[in-house]
Amino acid sequence: MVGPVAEAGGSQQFESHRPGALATVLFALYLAGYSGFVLVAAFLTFAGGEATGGLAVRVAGGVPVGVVAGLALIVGAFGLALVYAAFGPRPTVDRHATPSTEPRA
Amino acid sequence: MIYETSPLAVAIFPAFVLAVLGLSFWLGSRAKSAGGYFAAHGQIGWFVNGIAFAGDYLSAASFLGICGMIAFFGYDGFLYSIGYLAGWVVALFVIAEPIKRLGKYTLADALNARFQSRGVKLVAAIATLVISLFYLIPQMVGAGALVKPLLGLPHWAGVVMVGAAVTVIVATAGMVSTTWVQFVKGTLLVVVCTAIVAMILDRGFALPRAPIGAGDVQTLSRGADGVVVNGAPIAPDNQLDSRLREAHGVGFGSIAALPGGVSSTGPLGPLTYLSTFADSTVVTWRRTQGDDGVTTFTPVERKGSDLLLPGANPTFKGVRDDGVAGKLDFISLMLALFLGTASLPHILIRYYTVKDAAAARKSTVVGIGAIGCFYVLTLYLGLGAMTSGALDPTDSNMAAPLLARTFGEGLFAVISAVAFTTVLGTVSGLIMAGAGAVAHDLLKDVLRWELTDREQVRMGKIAAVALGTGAVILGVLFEKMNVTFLVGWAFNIAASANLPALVMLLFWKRTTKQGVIAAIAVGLLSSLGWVLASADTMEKVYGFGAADARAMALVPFSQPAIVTVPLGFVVLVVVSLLTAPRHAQAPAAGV
Repeated sequence: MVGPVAEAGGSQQFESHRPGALATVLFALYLAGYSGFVLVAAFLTFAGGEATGGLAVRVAGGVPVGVVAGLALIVGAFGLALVYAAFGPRPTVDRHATPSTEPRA
Repeated sequence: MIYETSPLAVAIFPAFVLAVLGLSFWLGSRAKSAGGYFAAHGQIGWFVNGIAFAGDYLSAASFLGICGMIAFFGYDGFLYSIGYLAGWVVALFVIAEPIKRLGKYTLADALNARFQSRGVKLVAAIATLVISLFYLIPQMVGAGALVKPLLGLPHWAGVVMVGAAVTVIVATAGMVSTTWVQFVKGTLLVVVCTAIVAMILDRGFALPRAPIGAGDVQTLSRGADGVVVNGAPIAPDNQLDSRLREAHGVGFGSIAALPGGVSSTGPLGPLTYLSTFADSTVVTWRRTQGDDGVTTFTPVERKGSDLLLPGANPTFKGVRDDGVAGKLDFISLMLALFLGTASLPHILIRYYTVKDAAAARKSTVVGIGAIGCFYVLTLYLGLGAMTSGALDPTDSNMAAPLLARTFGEGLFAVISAVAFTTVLGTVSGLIMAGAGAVAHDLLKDVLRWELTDREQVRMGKIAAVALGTGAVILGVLFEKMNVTFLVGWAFNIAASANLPALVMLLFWKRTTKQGVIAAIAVGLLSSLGWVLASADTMEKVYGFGAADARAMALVPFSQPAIVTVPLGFVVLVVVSLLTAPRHAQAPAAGV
């Protein structure tokens, strides 16, 4: 995924840092969920100042969708992070890292 | 309100703060070089760093501000929880590993990795300082809010205490002690809040002794003779909630009716708690300011289901309107929260305290787990406070500590001390980011002062003292602002100034240093200018009435990110294309 090219306007070579396929898929998945949540809240929940649907719909034993969706976005972020940690590609070697010469913190 | 000082709190609180300072001094002897001072030698373990992420990120805005906003307005506060956590997805999948590979001590290091440009360093350092300053204000306000009920001290005393403690922490060992303070704080915050939520669920809901009705209006005024409550001077036995407690057995924030007509629910499960709340009727309080200077608090019954929808808070009110501007304001804030986290300098520098990109990834996952856990808890803490009968209607930031007080003075003392260390942890990180920007970026790289390693550390410490002093002054000036509202500004400015440059630098090979400089400068100035010219600022900072503020606002809505973040991307692309050198070669295969 990384290939050096002459950098435009700078003095060093360009190094692409595009995320891998899994990271892209997981990010797109979450972005779709988050965007959907925000758009439903903004455009599908109220009409004429009254709650008509969207986040106001009751699910899960009477809990509004807005609460369930919010909790799902929080828990889902951790779930996706775990998937990435378990199945994501190993990060490339950090060429800028320098070994410490001082005692560990 | 006048708060009774608890002897237990007075004993526990200094013990917490002294323990934190002691830890700082102990670790202080370990960091002498710039690498140690600014980045803890890059040797912090990934798990400790992950919890320290939580300690750094879960600021006064998260703990005091969100809980307060949920307690006063319901679901709107939870929107911040959702947005704040969502931002970590951007950090994990897009920013974390490249930032670790590119940078050394500061965000400017990463942005300048390809260019070695003084211009990039200068604008990135200025952006870091401005964002850190905006983020510092609510932390200091939160500190001031805490010491009032805890120690019976005025707001300014709390602000000064935090300023002094943080200056000691940062000036002794920099990132090493800051990391461990944040680790301790992050752990304590999640553990203590989990315990309180368990107590909230165990207590369930209960009706007051007698119903609160239209006749229970309370008044507050401040005149030459001091504070007057319901027509008589304020006193320990004449507080804003004294009449309510006498007549109804509870103060502000209570249940008016429970589903099934019962008077109490007993212990509830996590989902049953939410559904029961949705089916209940809650007494909230409308605050109005009269022309005669008298503030009136009027009880208003609202359905729980309505409080579990967005739009009760003035910041999100537009989401319920049919007009476009209000909805854009809402979308813009949610966008800022999503993009802002990965642009906050004090968060990004924590990627330099681990040894490599693999550790950066693992620590982000740990951070998301701890932070996500806390944000789930905020919903229960906020709703628990809303129905606790212990709210201070004049100060939303006090909702969580006062909720804890309903479970006993000991828990109140512990939660307040934890909240205070919460402020210490976040402020330490912010001042570290600012000190790095001044000493490492501005003095060494922009002004090209010849600084040895130790001199760089010394300049960082001097910068830390100066930033701490500035933060104290601002914390006193902004006393009355809700801390979450203020942090929303910081996210808007961070997302607008830093994110376009960060993302394009990582993913677009034709990005030039002129493009980066222009994007940061335009993003910073446009978002800052937008915030300062908005109706919210006219009303809440400049002090105009709501109608005047709307009329005087120079921008159609208050949250700028939906305009200024795309603007940053456009400026970067246009300037990069205009300044691309003619000899630029074609990209090699495989990029």
